[in-house]
Amino acid sequence: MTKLRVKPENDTNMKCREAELQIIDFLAQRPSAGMPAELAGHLVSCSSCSALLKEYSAGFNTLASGRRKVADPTFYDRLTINMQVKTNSHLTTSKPVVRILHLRPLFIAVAASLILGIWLGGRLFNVVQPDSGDENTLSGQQRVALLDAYASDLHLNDDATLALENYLIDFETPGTNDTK
Amino acid sequence: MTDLELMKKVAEGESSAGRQFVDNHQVNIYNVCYSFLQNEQDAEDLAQEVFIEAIRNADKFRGDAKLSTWLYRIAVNRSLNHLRDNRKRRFRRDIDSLIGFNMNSEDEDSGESGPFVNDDYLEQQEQKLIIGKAIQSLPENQRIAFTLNKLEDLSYAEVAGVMKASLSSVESLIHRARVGLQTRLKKYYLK
Repeated sequence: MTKLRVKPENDTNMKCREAELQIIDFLAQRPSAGMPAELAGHLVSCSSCSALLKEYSAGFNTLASGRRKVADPTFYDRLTINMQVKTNSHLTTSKPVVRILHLRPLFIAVAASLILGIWLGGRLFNVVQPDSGDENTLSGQQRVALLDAYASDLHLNDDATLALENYLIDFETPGTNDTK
Repeated sequence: MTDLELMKKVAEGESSAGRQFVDNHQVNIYNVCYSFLQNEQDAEDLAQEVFIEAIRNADKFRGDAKLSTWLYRIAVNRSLNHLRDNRKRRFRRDIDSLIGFNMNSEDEDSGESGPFVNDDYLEQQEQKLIIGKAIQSLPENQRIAFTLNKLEDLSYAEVAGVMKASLSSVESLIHRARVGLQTRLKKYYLK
């Protein structure tokens, strides 16, 4: 039959882990409140935890040294001056400009890409739509001649087209303009 | 006078009410800012900004929550924004120095550590830095819950009010923050 054996150091580890958490609580909440009896008891028997308390307490105490316990009597007066200064500076400074200057690399990049985009767009547009400038320069006579040439290309005046046109007109329904 | 009445008077611009409001809360608000920023001058400046914001928005206080809870909320948000801005500023400075635009980095970096600074003082500052960095490295929600409950002595219910979270989630956040802090601190001290 095998015997189950619980390691005694496991027990100690658990206690130490809890003690470490309690040390943090104790130091963070500032030792004025007094150390819990359970933690004090553990520290008497555990040298590593008491060493840890010593190590941590220096840092926590220095951290707490910047805290205030009493109100600063000049705080409100400085606050009113500060408010006045802020109100005045809010009226005089134009914030958008400040922000743009603050973000200058980003602003320059956006502006450059915008200019580049417009330039590229312009170039592409020219490629797609070739020059058609001389259309407007045609005189009236040239225009009529061109239209006649176009009509003759389509054979609008030959016999077959005229016969078809007459046929469609003859059989047209008056109401709908459709052929019967 | 109730909080709501006091804030109404502050909104109307009554100077004595403003002074009473600020004097009642300045220590707590300064300490919250200090707990987050861990720098006295920054905490002082930020506490002033918190009160300026509170006074300007005094008419928006409806008395749903306690005045202190409302103020703590402003202080926590302001502190976190300040830390984020600092991080961005540091990042921008790093980029600038990487590209070679930084002209006055020596001026900014020169701190208190002159040649005549006492060794004990330096060690204390280092210890403070370790604890401070360990707290700051916690996830944001855990850091807020831990700071308010452990450093500022707010009850779980008050922390829940400031964070607009449930009691159980605050409990869980604080527990995780303690365990996280323990791991981080041990990692450093047992090196």
